[in-house]
Parts: sequence; structure tokens; C-alpha cells
Amino acid sequence: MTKSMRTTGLSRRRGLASIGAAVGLLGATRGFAQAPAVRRKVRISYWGWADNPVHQKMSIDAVDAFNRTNGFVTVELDATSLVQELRKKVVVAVAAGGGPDVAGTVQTHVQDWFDSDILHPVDEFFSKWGERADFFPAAVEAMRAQAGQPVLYMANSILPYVLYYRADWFEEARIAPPRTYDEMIAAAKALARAPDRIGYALRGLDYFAVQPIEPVWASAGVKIVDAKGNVDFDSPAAVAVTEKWVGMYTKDKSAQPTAVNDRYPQLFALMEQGRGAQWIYGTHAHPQLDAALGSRIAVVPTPSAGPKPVTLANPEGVFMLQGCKEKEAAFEFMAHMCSGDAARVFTARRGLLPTRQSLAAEPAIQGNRFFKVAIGESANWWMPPFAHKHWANYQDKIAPYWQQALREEISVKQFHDQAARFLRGQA
Amino acid sequence: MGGFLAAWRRGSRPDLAPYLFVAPICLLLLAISIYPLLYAGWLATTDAKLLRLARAAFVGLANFERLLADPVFLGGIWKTLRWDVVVVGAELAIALPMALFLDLPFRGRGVVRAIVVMPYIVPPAVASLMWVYIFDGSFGVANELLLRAGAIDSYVSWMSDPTGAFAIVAAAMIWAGTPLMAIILLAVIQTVPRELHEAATVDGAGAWARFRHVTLPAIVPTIAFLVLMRTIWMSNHIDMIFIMTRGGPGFANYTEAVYAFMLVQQFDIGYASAVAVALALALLAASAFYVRHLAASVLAR
Amino acid sequence: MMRGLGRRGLVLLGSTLVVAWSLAPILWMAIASVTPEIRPDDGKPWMSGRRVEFLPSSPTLRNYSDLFENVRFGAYFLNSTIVAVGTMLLALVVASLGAYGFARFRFAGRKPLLVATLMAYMIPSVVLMVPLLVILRSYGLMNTRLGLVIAEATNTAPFVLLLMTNYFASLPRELEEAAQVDGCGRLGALVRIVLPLAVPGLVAGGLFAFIATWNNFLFAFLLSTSDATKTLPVVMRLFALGEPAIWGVSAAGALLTTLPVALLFFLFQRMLISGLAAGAVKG
Repeated sequence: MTKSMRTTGLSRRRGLASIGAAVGLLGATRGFAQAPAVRRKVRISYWGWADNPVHQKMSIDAVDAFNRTNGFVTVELDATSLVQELRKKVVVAVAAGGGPDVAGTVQTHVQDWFDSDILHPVDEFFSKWGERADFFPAAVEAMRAQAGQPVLYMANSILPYVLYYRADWFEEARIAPPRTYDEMIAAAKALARAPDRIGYALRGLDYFAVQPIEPVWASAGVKIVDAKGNVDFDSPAAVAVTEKWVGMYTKDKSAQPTAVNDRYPQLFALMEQGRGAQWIYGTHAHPQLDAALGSRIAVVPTPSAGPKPVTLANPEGVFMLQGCKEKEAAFEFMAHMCSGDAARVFTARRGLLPTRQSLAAEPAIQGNRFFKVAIGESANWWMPPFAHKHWANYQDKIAPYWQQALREEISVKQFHDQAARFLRGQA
Repeated sequence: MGGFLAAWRRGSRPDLAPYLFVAPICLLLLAISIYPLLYAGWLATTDAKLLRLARAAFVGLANFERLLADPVFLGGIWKTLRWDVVVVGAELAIALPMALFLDLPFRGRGVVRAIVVMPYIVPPAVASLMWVYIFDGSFGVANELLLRAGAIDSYVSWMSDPTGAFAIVAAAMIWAGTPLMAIILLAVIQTVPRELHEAATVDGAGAWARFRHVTLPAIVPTIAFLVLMRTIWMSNHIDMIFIMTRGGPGFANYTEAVYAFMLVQQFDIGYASAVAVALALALLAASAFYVRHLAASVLAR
Repeated sequence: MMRGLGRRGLVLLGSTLVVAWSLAPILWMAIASVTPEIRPDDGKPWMSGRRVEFLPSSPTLRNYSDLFENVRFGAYFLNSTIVAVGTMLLALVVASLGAYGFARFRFAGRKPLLVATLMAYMIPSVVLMVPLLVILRSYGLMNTRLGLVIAEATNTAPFVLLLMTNYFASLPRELEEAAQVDGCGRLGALVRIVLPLAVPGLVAGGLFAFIATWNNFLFAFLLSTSDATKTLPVVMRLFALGEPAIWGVSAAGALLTTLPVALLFFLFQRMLISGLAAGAVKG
């Protein structure tokens, strides 16, 4: 399979949508054949990322479980970085001739890993694995990154983004939970009461500040960049959406004053302390928010700026590196991370949806009110155009400009123009 | 060089011993400093990206043209100057009185002197951590103190503001760097001969006058030298700025050195090398002057 | 000269100010390191309950034990030690040899070579970053402690060279000349006569190299990406980012990272302070 094939095929949106639909149905259990086992003493290294200590513990537990049950393959774990730091670490290590055997990744970077000759497609092992039929077909399509490519990596979970909101505050103010983008902006303004009540928990730091806005842009009809490389990110429709978002911080004052430097720990603390009214984030924040706030916290789908809502749903998982010398052992470990209890750790326990039908059928998933909302939007699941050749460039460089936009050092239009330049490969 | 050749021509075997002694350090530096410098110079003329080094293409001076039109680079000139002036200026302003104070004889002076040097010994990464924690927007003790003192209504995220972030990083750097200045100044102050002080006192000069007319003239050359050295070091500095702010918020703390480093983080290494080379060239004159001075003083013995 | 209470008052005020200024952040870290922290737990909120405590009501050492359990601090400490000791030895050997050459001989090219050696010291690390990565890779030294030692030795060797050159220059030549008359070679004279006399200088140089390497962040960050070779300052950065956001543990790590160099400094402070001053004061 050549990397340069850009054939059309199952569209990303349709593909993800069918995973969602299937998760919503109960799946039949199947019997599974075992993957061929490695029978020599082998050591492999796995670099994972950790959003926080709880997440780190999950990786530690999953790897420990593998090392205990597998008598031959031992995995050395390094799970101390954030996901963007992990990417840098892997790139630098590989560029200097080293690197791990297996690494964690989000869908965002998979095409880039492949194009840079860092990723070794697992297709040869996956196609022989007896449990592959348990994966949602659309998940397998996502694991190819682009139609026509071999299966590049193994996704064990999908992270859908939803809008967390304070049900009690909305009830008190007699506002209905927001369905449209304008409703969300208005609710943020109405509910904000400094310093105890923040209308919207807004992120300023890192590329991930921009990520929750992506589904809103998509719902407004913005393609960002299409398959032919046409960039419409500097269009008036995109700018209009962002103006309102930034306006929450600059004009409405419905966002927290510290937004410019805030990232996950600060936003999470805000919500957990009960000070935030709304927050678009992944379902993985729900276990602790539920514990802290109970029925006061609820979720609705990401509000829409157009006729149809769009829900961001990014797969994540593990990939094998080209430099790996023990590929069979590495796949055995990767299979473990996508099966049974290990997979449950990264899905039900962590707060993401599974990519395997058997796991999606389990009560932990089906009976969870947060997952329900995400599953309910399955027809509208969407991923940004990660596989576009300049996407990584844009993602790597855009963060400081976002902070400048929040601080009004540049206009929102200038932000979009700069982003469009990155996407066109002009900067 | 001439002496070497002359001796060779005379037929007498030139003494190789000194060359053998200096060979290890020279070879080490050649391999790990000079050669990489030249390689960086070459990289600066390519469009190399870290992941695709083998496919790097020669682009001549294109990177340097890009530099001159790059708002982040141009802004970086001002940011570097601001950083240098504020940090070196503040360090000097604090170090001089500190050195004069430490010159006074009193009991426990040795202990105080040792404590004063502590911030310089503390690893810069630790100092960064300390200051970030103290000024943390949600958990910082500075916020708590200001709140209790009534100076603010609620916790402020000082690092979110460009000026605030600069001030805090500068404060951390000044905290960590002043001891070095103080110690060097103290050493020089202590070399001023007692007789000069005594003569001035006999002539009726008070402490301030003695400082102005006896001490100051003696230490001005050292101050100038220190300022030069520290300015060069600060222009090249990356660690604390990177750890504490990663250059942000926005581009507020992007000095040229930090910009080059961030470019390396973005894997754009051809351009990063161009920025680094530009910085090195800008500092070349100052560095050369400083080095010749140092070398001359060493060889003078 | 001011006398009496005025002077005593000034000294007291001055001392209090400088000591407070120098120690306050370190003291705060010490307090934070024994303040109990809320542990993250799957089902429980963990950030909301945290408050600033000036004097913890129930100080605990749990942060320190967490440091070694959850963060593999012991391994990083060991890495830092190995790299610092290795660099110290390499820098001492290389710089002492070079310093002897510069101090004792007048040879052709002496000044230009010294200038060039010192210039190499001035090259901004930012210029050397990527080339070093590539060079270390081609010798298979990436992610190894040896590679880190070599890179950091170039950082510290020139300063040690300066120090040792001054030191050797201040030693009287007669002893070596006498030894050479007795039949020692040049190297023999260095090893048997000069070095024992130069021990204070060597100790000072070694300490500088050790401390500078222990504290080094940039090369460690760039050249040791794997967990196996990470050194302490790199871990400090992770803590400073707020990962994990358990500040008590971060503070404990900060103190333990500072402890070795602080101890070395207090033990050898006179030597180190005069070495620092001498290194740059010649003017």
C-alpha cells in the first residue's frame, strides 16, 4: 500500500457514525482465537502518556497485568508525559536513532507517524488476529487513518466530546440546556457571576484550547481543509464562530479570568470545585465530576452553530514503531491493551467508549448517563482532517497565536489567517 | 606558528609535550563544540525537519530572509534586550549593596555569605519550580499572602499576563543569579588596599565619599566585565524561561534563544539553526572581546 | 566607621533581609513538602479541597514516600549522580592536562589555542542542540549516560580549564624542574609532584563540574528522552508543569534534588566561593 493514495472511501463521518450506532446496539459475543504467542524471554518498551496521576496509574496497572500473566514478554513502561510531550519525546528519540517499541497515540498524529516512517503498520499481525472481528468495522477504518491504507495502529478507545453543564444552575435560572451555539454563549453570559460562577470554563493553553471549537466550526459548515487541500479556515463563517468564543473571555466576561494560561488541571479544578457552569470536554472527565457533583452535573451534546450538531470523537490507542526489533512480542502487548480488563481500564474506567463490540455491550457502558448522550449522537460523530499533510504543522504551531487572540494582541481574523497559512504550508 | 616552523627548519625537534597535554581538551571541544557549530551553520542553509533529515535540501539564505520578515524573530530582538537589561541591571543593583554589606566585618559573616550564595547553587530547574509554585494562580502562596493583606480580592493568575509572566521569570532569574555577581564584586572590593581607605578617612571622607572615590573606581572595570559576561549568558539563556513559561503567554517571553529552542521543539530545525546562528553572530563581537580578555589575563602569569 | 547601635542595627537589618530573601522560597518548599496532600482517586474529587497552609497542622512524610513510589525518583537520582560524577572525572582529567599545558609551556599557538578553547565555551547551547543530537546518534550515544557525560563535559571543561590554569600557574616551578632533573618525564612530574600540590584546585574544579552537571537542564532534556537516563532537573520541569498537580510531592522532589549540591556547597564553601570569584575577576 503506498502512502500517497488518497482515494475516497468510507467517509470519516459516516465511518465513525456507524461505530456509534453499533455501540448503541447490544453486540453478540463471539468466541475468540488466540494470537500466536512469543515463547522467548523478550523485553519491549512502551511509552504511554498520562493526563494525570489517575490516568498514569491505569497504564501502570495495565502493564503490570500483562507482565504478570505473560511469562515471556516483559514490558517496560514510561508513562510520565502529557500526550503532546510524548509525541515530541518519541520524535526526538527516533530522530536520534532510539525510541520505544510501542507508544501511545491519539488519532491526530497517526498519519504523521506513518508519513514520517516512524510507524510500522500492524496490518500483518492484525489481519491474522482472531479477535479482530470484534472491532467495529468503522473503528478499523479509523485505524487505517485514510481509506486505502493498511491498518496502521490499534485503537482501543474513542473519546467523544460533550458539553458538561450545571443542571441545578440552569434550572434555577429557568434556562433550557443549550442545543445551539448561540444558546451556549447566552447561557454563559446569563449564569456568570464572578468570582463564584464562571459561565464557561475556557482553555487558553496548548493546541487543545482550540480542539473543542472544532466541532462547532464543523457544524457551521467549515471544512477547515478538505481532501483536495483547499483551506476555508479563514472564511467568515469560521471567524464568526471564534469571535463569539473569544468574546466569552474578552467581552462577555463569562469565562474565568485566568483562561489565558489555563489547561486541563485548572479547568478540571474549576468544574470539580463547582464553580463552572459549562465546559465542552471529553467524557473522560465524568468519573470524578460525577463523584464531586452528582446529579448537579449533566451533559448534552456539543451545541451546534448550524442545522446539525457535530460531536468530536477521536480514537486513541497504541502503535508500533519501525525501530521495534521484537514485533511479534510488541503486537502481543498491543493486543493485550485492546482486550479484556486492560481495555476496560482505558474505556469504562477512564471514561472513553470502546472500539470493540463486546465491550460496548457491557452494562458499564450502556448504563452510563454520560456515555448515553455521546452514543445518542453517534450519527453525528466526526474527526478533524488529521490526515492532511499540513495538519501536524498547524497543530504544532498554532498555540501561541490562540493566546494572543485571547489577549486581543491579534484579532480573531488574524488568528484564522495565520492558521490558514499553516494549513496551506506557507508558514 | 612561526616559532614552530622555525624550530622544525633548524632541525631541532620541536617539543611536542605541550601539544599532547592540550590535545584532549582541544579534541573534545573540536568534536562536541566546533564541529557541531559548523554543522549548525550548514543546517541553517537548509530546510531540514527533524523527521526528514535525509531529505533536507539546500536553500541558501532563504532562512535568513525569512528571519528578517518574521514578526516573532523581530519581536524577539526587543524581548532579548528587555530580558538582558532588566535581569543584569537588577542583579547589579542588588549585588553591589549586598557585596558592600558583606564586606563589613561582623560575627556570622561567613554564614550569611554562604546563605547568600545558596540561590546560585540551587538547580535552576528547582528554582523555576519554586517560583512557579509560589505564584501559581490556584494554589500559590503569593496569592494567599496578597489576599490576606487585602491587596487583591481573589486569586490572580499572574503567569497568564505577559508582563506578569515576564516579571516572575525575571524575578526568579535575578534571585538565582545575583549571588554570583555579589561574590565576584565582594572579591574585588576586598582587593582594594586598606591604605587607600585609611588615607581617605584621615582626609575626612565619610563612608559614601570613600565608596565613590576609593572603591568605585577600583571596581568599575570588574563591573563592566561582569555586565558583559552576564549579558552574554542571559542572551543565551533558555532553561528557566522555558520551564516556567514555554515562551508564553502568546509570544511574550520569546527571546531569540527561546525562539530557536521552540522551533527545535516543533522539529523545524533548519530554521531553528538559522535563528541560533543569527543570535551567535550578534553576540560574536561581545563574546570575542570577553574571551580575549579572559585568555590574556590567564596567560599574563 | 559607624559605631555602636547604629551599626549593629544596620548589620542585623541587612543580615535579616539577605537571609530572608535568599531562603524564603526554599523554606516554603520545605513546608509544602510536609503538608499533607489529597491523593487522586478514581471516584473521589481531588483538586477542590486543597488550601494553602502556612504551617501544616499535621505534617507528614507521605509526600516523600510517594515520591519514591509513584515517580521512580530513586532511579532519576541515581542517573543524576552517575552523570555528574562521570562528567566531573572526564572534565577534571581533560582540563587538568590542558591546564598544565597552557600554564607550564610557552609553545607556538598557545594564545590562539586558548582563545579558541574558550570561544568554544561561549557557543550558545541553542546552536549546538540539533547537531549534538545527530552526532550522538551516529556514535550510538543517544539516550546513554555516556553520551550525556561527554556533552556535559564540554559545558564544564573550559571553566575548569581556566580554574586549573590559574592554579597551576601559581605553583612554583622549582619542584617540577627538580623532579625532571631527577629523571621524571613531563607527565611523571605532573602526576607525582604537581597534582598532589594541586589537590585544592582539583577539588574546586571537580566540585564545579559536579554541581554544574547536576544542575544542568538543557542537555539532559534534549539528550535523555528515555526514562532510563532521565536526570533530576528534567523531572523538576515535569513537576513545574503541574504534572502531577500534587505540589507536596513536587516540593519534596525539589528539596531532595537540591540537597546534594547544597551539602557539597556548605562543606566546601570557602573553596567554591573563591573559585567562583577567581574565575571571572581577573580584570
